[in-house]
Amino acid sequence: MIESISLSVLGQQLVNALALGSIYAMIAVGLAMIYGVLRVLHIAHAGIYTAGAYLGLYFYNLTGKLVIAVVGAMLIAGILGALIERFVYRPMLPKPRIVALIASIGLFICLSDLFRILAGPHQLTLDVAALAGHFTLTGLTISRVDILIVGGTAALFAGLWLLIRHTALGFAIRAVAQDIETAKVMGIDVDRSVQAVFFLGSAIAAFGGIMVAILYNAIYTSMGDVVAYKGLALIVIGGFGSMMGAVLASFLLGITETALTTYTQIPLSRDGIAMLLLVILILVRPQGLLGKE
Amino acid sequence: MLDAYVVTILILMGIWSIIALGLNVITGLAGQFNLGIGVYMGTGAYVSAMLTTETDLGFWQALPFALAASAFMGLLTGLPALRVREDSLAVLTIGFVFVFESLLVYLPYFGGPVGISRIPRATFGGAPVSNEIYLLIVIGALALSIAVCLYLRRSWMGLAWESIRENELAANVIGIHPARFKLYAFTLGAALAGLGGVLYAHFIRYVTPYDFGFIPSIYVLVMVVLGGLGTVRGPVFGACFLTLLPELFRFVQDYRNLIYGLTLVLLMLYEPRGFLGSGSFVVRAAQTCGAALRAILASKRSYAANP
Amino acid sequence: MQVRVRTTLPAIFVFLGLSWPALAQEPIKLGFFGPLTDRFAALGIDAKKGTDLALKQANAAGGVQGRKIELISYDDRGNRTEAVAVARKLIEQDKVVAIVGGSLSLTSIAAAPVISEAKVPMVASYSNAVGVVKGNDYVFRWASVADVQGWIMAHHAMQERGYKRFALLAQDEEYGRGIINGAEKGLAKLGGEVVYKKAFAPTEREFRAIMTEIKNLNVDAVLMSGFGPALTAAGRQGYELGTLPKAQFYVGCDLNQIDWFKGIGEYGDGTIGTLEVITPTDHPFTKDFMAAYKNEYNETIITHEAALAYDTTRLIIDAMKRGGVDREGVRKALGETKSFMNLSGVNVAYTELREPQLPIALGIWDKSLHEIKLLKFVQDKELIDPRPWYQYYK
Repeated sequence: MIESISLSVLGQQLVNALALGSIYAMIAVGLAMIYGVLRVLHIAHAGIYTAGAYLGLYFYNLTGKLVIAVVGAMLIAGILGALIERFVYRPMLPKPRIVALIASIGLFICLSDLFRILAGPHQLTLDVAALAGHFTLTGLTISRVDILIVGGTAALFAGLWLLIRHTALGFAIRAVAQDIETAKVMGIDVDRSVQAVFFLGSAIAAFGGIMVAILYNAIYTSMGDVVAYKGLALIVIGGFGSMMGAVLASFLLGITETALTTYTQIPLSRDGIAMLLLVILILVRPQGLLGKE
Repeated sequence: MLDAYVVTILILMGIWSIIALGLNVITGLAGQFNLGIGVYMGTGAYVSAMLTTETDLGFWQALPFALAASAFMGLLTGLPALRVREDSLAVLTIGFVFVFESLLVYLPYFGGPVGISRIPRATFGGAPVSNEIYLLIVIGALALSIAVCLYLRRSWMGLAWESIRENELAANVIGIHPARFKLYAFTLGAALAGLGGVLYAHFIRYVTPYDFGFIPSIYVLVMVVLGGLGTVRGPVFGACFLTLLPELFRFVQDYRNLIYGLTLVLLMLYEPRGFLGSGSFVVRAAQTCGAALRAILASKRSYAANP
Repeated sequence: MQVRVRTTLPAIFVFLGLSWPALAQEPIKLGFFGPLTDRFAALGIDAKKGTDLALKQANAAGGVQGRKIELISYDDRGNRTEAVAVARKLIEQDKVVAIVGGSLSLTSIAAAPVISEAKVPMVASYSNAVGVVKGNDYVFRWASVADVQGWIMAHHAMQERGYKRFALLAQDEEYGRGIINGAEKGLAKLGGEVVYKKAFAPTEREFRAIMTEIKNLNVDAVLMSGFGPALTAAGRQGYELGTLPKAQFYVGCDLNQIDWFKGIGEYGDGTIGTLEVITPTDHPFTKDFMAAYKNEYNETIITHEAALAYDTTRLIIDAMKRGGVDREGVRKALGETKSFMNLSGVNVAYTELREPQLPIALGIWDKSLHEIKLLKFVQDKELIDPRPWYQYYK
């Protein structure tokens, strides 16, 4: 059942979809990078994302400055990600794939429970006064948080793109993603490159966590649950290990979810729709949107 | 008479063991990732629940339909799984379980999110059974499942699965058709998981879509891997252990999930084959002990022979 | 393998056998289960706070028949299977006289038949789904039926405010559906028009697409059910997009949750919600309770889980005093309860359905005061009666 579509509603939904897509992209891009170098389905990435939100709140309450909160949370989350790589995934590389997957699930459970123990069971809030409010633009309502999310995502991705394309570290990462063995032979410090990927991916996820916390004004222990499996779906839709693919998939999912929940009466939840999309896509195009067979 | 609480725990241990064995057929024996065992468990549970509440069929009459439905669901989800492997397959099965849960939630025919309540008890000789008798039924079903798995492992099917698991290309070359055997694995594993689902439904006697979602599916996978993927003793041990664990750890009430997660990480770091997987430290220790015992017994016999 | 099963089972019996309690004469054992960890932990922990406080006060006053009351509490992690297991443990191993609190609707609904069949009285304190009590002869409730809350929202919106066009948002589980069922049936009865209806998962936090759509439909009010976090997220986004307060926002039940005070913050001015417990009343009993609660936990916001569990525990202790310290006695006394004073100081009538006719208050969020102001206190028997809603549930 298609309902009447008014132009302003359509525009508003596009703004909503763009913000939603940016949030997905911030999680998916790290997952895709990590999958690219290690071939690990990093479910605990959602735990890092939640950690980012809690750390951001901690630093914000401590200093009252959003910039410090964001930078501090990203730094610590990045280090946390690198530590996970060093002490959990690296020893597991020679073992069957399912080993790292189960460890990742265990880690995610651990992190979620740790947040509850440290921060309490109640939902916390991150109300940043400077970001409250919105302005209207030819009938569209755009909140300041939306702008920060979309702008921040764009800036982060631009920086990431420059780093990957135009620096020595970026070259090393790309080489490792191609083939670890060859990279080793070429004299590339594989361990350092993988660490860098985990650091970058985790820092971006933490940024995503803080943005979501501000957007919904809510920080809670299970906020990573939905992200954990939706992130996996996104990197599969995008094409395993393809960063561009993951970003593309994120925005497509943001738009599809928004459109399908409002303009149709498909009797499925938002998550159900996302997963149905995933199933159909895997069947039609197993290598994903931008993946190479 | 056993304490009803102990009976409850034993029944749950039996039910989860059967479901874990089902997943083990797919993932352990045939080597196909599956993070969505809840689909088959849920199919069995829902079909049995619907038939026994909406029609005149009893537990035993509904059972074959429920098993057939879950086996069919296994076949249905196995077909697309032929196209993809490894990580794609893992994520695809996650997709399945979410779509399944979503459908159950949004189709009012299946009771919606509220699920199906007042599911009748299993009957024996026309009368509803007590939990003690139900425990015997569960133990019987578990024994049967174990027997089937042991047989499957040693049969030609088990050999074919092993070769697919080790090297699919090579299996193809020696004339084993991987697709066919993968479908066998999905169908048989799904039927076992469906059996577990039926037993679950008639024990808790109330099912909702959320009982068969992603989290329970992961939980079963963890049971299988923790016990020892690919063995028969492993999944049963893993299921019993993880069902008992929260009960044993009640004294650390506040930190149960933390300990649970940590156990998984540490086990994967130091004993990825699981507690009872072939070659794990427990199995090696047991073998050493057995060998020592045999040696002692043998030496005693030799004394007896030469007084 | 079968050998291993046979050898491990006896070992487990031994373990569990060791933990069987010694038969003791003193103290009276009261059972409690609820989500103390995992995602619903906040609800269970608050309920336990209320129960603990009530027990502490009762024990300080001498207990029942000179015996102290001891709480045996277990965590069910908001998990149905674990709820059934711990319920059996309370009944069989701890031999509790009664069970207080119950758990979430979705877990209590599985544990209630087990408890009822074992002939142990239980009073559920924050499960609002009809199915928890209906058909389970030993299970009572000290909370409102979900549908009643929806009906009261609908009634207020139409009769007092004169609204005509409505949008309904239902959280997709027993509780959320119940509230919206009440609202929908109520609106239909009074002649209101529902132009939009959507269900959402309890984990949902993204309502902008829905709020944008509602904005365009020119509704007079949005009626929504759910747990605190989803309600505050929707409210916030609705206000940001301008959908609210153009349309009056009504929320089902969780207005007095901590989430609300912090979660919606500057945005939800004028939001109307249903309250099962009214803590800012001037009744001396309420004042004493609030002082005791602050003294015990150093918290000024009292969630309805804590307040309802406090009343529930008092009700059970009262039943023990009236009926004796055994399961049948407590059940009989509970069944004979005609009315009981809740912590708002209201004498609440108890119906033959083992449900109270709990008064419902409508509260309104005042941004400038940063508190919930009492809008209306609903004691009209026709509105708060749980009985008409039983027909919708098996």
